[in-house]
Amino acid sequence: MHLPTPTRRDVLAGGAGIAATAAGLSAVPRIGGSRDMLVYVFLRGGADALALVPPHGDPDYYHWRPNYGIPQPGQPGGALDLDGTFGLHPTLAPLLDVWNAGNLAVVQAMGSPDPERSHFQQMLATETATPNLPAGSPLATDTGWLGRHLNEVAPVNPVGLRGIALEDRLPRTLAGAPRTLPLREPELVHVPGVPDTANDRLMTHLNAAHHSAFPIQTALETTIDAAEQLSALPFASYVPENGAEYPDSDFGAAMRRAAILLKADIGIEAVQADLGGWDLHSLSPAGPAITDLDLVMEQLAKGLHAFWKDCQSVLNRVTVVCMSEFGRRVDEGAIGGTDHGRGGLGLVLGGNVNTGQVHGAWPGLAPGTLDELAVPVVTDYRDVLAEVLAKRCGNPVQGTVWPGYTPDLSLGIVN
Amino acid sequence: MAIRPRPASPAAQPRPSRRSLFSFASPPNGQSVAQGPLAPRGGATAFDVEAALVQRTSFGVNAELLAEVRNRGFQGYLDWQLDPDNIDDSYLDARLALLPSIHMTGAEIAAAYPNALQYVPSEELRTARALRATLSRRQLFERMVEFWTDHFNVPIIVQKRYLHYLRTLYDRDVIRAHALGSFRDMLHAVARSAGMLKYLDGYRNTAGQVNENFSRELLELMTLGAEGPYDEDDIKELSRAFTGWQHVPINEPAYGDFYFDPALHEPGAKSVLGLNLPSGGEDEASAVLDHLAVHPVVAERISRKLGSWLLGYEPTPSAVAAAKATFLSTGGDIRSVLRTLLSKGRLLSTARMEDRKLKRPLHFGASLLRAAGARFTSLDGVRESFETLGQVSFDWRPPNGYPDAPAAWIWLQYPRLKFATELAQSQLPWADLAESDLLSITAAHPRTEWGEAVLSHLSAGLVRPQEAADLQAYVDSHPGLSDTELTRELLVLAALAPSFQEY
Repeated sequence: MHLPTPTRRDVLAGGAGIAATAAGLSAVPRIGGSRDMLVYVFLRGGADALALVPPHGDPDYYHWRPNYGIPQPGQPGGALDLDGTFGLHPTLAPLLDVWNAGNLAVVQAMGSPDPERSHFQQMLATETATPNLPAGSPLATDTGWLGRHLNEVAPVNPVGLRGIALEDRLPRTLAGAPRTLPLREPELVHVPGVPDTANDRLMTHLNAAHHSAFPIQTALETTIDAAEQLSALPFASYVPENGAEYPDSDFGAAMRRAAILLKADIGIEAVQADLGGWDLHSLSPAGPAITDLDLVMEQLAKGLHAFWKDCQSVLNRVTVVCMSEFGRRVDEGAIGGTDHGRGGLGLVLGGNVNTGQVHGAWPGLAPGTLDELAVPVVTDYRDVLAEVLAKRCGNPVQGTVWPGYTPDLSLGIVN
Repeated sequence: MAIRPRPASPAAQPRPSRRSLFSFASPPNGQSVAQGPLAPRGGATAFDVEAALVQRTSFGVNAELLAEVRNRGFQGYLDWQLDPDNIDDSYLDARLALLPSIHMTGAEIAAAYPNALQYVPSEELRTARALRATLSRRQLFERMVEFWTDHFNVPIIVQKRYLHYLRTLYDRDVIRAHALGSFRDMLHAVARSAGMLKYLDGYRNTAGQVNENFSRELLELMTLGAEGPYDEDDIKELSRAFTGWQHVPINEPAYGDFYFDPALHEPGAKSVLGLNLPSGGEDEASAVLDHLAVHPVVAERISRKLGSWLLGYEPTPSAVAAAKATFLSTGGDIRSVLRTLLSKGRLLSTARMEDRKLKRPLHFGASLLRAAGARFTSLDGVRESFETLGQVSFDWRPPNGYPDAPAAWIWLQYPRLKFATELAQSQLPWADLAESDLLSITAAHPRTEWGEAVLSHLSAGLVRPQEAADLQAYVDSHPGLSDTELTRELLVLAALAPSFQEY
């Protein structure tokens, strides 16, 4: 099968040329058409939605959180009001700019219909999008919803990377995705070693794709293309726009990389950058008047804020979605920590979100409405993601993305 | 070094300094073994089951182990590997002597590595992991250490103080001490280890404040399995039975030792898995461990997992059934179970290249160094180089251990490309690939056979012909390259070939 390779190589070379032009990252002809790059942030560990976006207007909130509830707006350490009912935790203050600019949508009581409260099981069900799957079901799958989405839509760029996880390993969410790699530090990816002539020979040979029937060689081919693309990007010299400052944290670094990938416009359709550390059954002080929950919230807020500020010029072609595998219980655990719950938080950021209100019906925190001491799931996370995929990521059909489920695309979270 | 025969009596030599070990890097005496795989006995051209045995029970074939299996035969080699205490490993041991913390007690570690030095033991333990995988002659033992390291996973989480000290004890006194022994003994050792008590909160599981973390994972991951015959009540009751299991805290001479504290133990009878446990003490949970250690569901799960580890992702039902029968008849003797699984007939059934497994990163790195005949010239940078491959030892946070599935690793091709290129071009600062050894891979062959020669050398002849042909196409299209250049470049291509990345 000696297919001549010029097609892939030539287009890739074209892409690299564009990327090189993009060193200044302006006036770059778009490859991507009208499709957004999706940045998916999985908040692993179960983020406490009632601390991040407290329902300060709910009469039962302070009943459940008498000691560690976020005070009402205007009080010391109080919530930053969003819509009269919900507010932002004061540590999330950077996100208030994004909200006020109309670029942040918030969903509450969002989650999976699967009542599972084990991290492993719920993450697995969420990432494969197969909640409540009975053993032996024909719908069982090893692939992730985002991987299936990329398989369904035509690629923006006929060669090169389509997805990238800024992680050590490919998350289950992206399992099965074509031309998708885990690269925590994409700036380090270049064709290695010397002498260059040897590398040229080797890369030319490996690129010939004599035998791409093997998954290993498919992965290798994707890797070599990615090395060509990514080594042309200005990771080291990149200067964020608008004075944006990415925080010195793993998540901040990941969002900075996501911005570079977005602006380079080389056809990457999905970026995953997870942020863990939310599984706080008890809070520990991390400094004067701050806890470990503050630290992880600060990472999230500053990372998202810097990305938003930096990407103003391209905000119309990116959507960021943050969610967790579940929320936490309404009642306080040890020293302000909480146990695993159900309904949680969705944050959707971009140039085409509908803001001004917190989305999703709010069930309230009255004892009778709770689901074993947790916020019940009112809004299925699949509806939120499906709407983003349909309206922003060029996939109106999603025939395989949500096994056994037809999502409701009418929440109106994005345009 | 792993590819070279050991010095005649290295134990008799004075303990070497780091300088004498690494600066001169003169190889031990012995014939060069960096040559093509020795032929199987009887000149068989069919599936080379002896090479397959070495490949399936090691971090990669090398010439020395191939010579051993040719000399000892299939069964003799297996018997030899199943008795690691009688395999001379002094060459490795001399290098491990340069990592003092791995030989220390808990109190010695805590005293020797305070404050700014506190992460040195973790670094040394990770360096030791790479050295052992690459250099040990007890290769089956090391593969089993890897297996149990994942099955009874305890990661180094620096926030859980002081797992970065305790992990060294856990590796040596629990995992390595029992890797080929009795499953029951290992289960007891795990449950009493300071590492596990710290990692899964056993130390916080006390009367009136029962913590279910360890009991839940013990049943779900370590023994019965998620579908196993137990319920939430069993977890609760078992957690009560485990109250009072503690380890001696830091700053005491016996730091890390187990003790039972009756004052922290929940009084009253318990009922776990149908066992009625009268109010007692340490004996309550011990009885449950004894029960689990020989439970048929556990025997089947462990047998299947071992079959998957050693034979292929989907071991045959007959292999699992035979291993389970051995497990139950021997009371969980791991060595006996391995003997059942690694029969010649079962090894013959692994011949299909389509059924082979993907090497995980540690396995890939060690096997490439082993097959290429690289020697360590320093320990500085070894750990970091291995970590770039994507599998930092003792760093998998959830209790289920690093996955053994292609989906988890197949996309990490860039680190393999980089590692192989740097090794082949002699750019790894801690590894030496002598030009004479390199050339000996190809020297005995005409260039028309180099593709096959290099690929077969790396994989003991267990290769796909079309991949050899692909390498040969490279040879044929670059006639102007020198022997050295061409051999180095073929080494990279062969390392990336599925025939080598799989086993």
